[in-house]
Amino acid sequence: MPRLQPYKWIALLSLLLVIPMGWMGDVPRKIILNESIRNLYFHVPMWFGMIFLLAASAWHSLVYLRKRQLQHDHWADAYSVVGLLFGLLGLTTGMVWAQFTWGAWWSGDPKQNASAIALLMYLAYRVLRNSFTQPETRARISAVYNLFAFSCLIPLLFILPRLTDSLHPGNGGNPGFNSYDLDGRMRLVFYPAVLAFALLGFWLANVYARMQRISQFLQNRFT
Amino acid sequence: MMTISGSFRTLITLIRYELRSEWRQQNVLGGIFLYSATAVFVSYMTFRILPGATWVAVYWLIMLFSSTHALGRSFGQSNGDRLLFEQSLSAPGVYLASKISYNILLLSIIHLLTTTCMLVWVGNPFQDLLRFSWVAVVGYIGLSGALTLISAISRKANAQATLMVVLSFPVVMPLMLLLIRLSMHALDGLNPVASQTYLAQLGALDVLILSTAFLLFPYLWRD
Repeated sequence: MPRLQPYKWIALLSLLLVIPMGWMGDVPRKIILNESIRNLYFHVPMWFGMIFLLAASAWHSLVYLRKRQLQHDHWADAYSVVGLLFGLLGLTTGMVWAQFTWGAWWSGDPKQNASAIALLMYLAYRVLRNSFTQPETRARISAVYNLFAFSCLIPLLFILPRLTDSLHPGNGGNPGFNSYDLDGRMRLVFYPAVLAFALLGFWLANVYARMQRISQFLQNRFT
Repeated sequence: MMTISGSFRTLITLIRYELRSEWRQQNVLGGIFLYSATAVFVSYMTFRILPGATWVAVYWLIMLFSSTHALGRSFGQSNGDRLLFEQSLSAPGVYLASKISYNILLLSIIHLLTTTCMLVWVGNPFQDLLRFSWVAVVGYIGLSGALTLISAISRKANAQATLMVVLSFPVVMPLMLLLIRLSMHALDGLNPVASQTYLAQLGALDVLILSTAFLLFPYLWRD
């Protein structure tokens, strides 16, 4: 029996529930959506996960600026990498879903655009990080950019949907998922899926940060 | 500790200092103005007369590029002795305020110049030109705040030109979207009541960007 922190057990057990039930569980039969409704279990949790991870990254940047301990920079880095990964996965699953229900890979939906801008911001953050050689300078300057980008991301998520109508459920007069699609059977998988993928994201970030710390240690030791 | 009137005096001194040193390097300033004038002329040669919506799009593209180009050098010319002198003269907040105010002035001048060139060459599709002009200036408050901070960030990374564009474009996107929407309203001469919400959002975004910039700038200050 591996010894894992409780949150990792929760992630593992909920994923064991979510993955088989997501692919094989009973779902309502809906016109147009058909079997693609299962994407709800994978697409939506990616976005929740991304927001949580990016918020965690911004938090660690803030703590770094206060305390100047490099481990917080490693954490901010790790959370932003995994947040970016979740964003890419959310965008991909969303595009596939959009092609088969709305009829186009990209239809200028405000949420699609907002997520594309968010990805550009955090890709720019990676470019910025890689342009420094000194760990302390990198940590300080990229923490400033991370916080600035996060504070610009928040209004983006609120402003953009108000400018244009969205095709997403619950926007622009479309009924929300709650009203007709998300019946009891789906809730039983959807909520654990949100929890499972978010915790999996934190787990991935944990592994990434530890890898970074080891490589830093080896670099200091052998060069 | 500086008093409020003392900081204000320093602010005025710094802005005057900035203006004077800019005036001594007229070729740099002329280069920036020529940049936008040339861009307008190129779009005139390709489009001849621009229809309304395209006018707005081309204008904001030109402004986006020339403002990142112009503000990317906010901290570029302060090197070595001069930087040390300016930093010993003032607190970080006052220093940033002087840079931002000077940049708002610079952007407004570029705005006037670009608009005039466009009116002469590609025509005037606006129902309410005056409203377009002042709405743009309200936007330049936020734009100047964001670009000045990012210019300070990219200066630390010693990779000015590319990094400046990559870091700033996604961050100023929400501002741009609001400005384009408000320009469209001025284009169609809509009743000002229709733009009130967007104008309020633009003001809120200005406040958000400026306050984040002032909170974060002290961490970029000195090494």
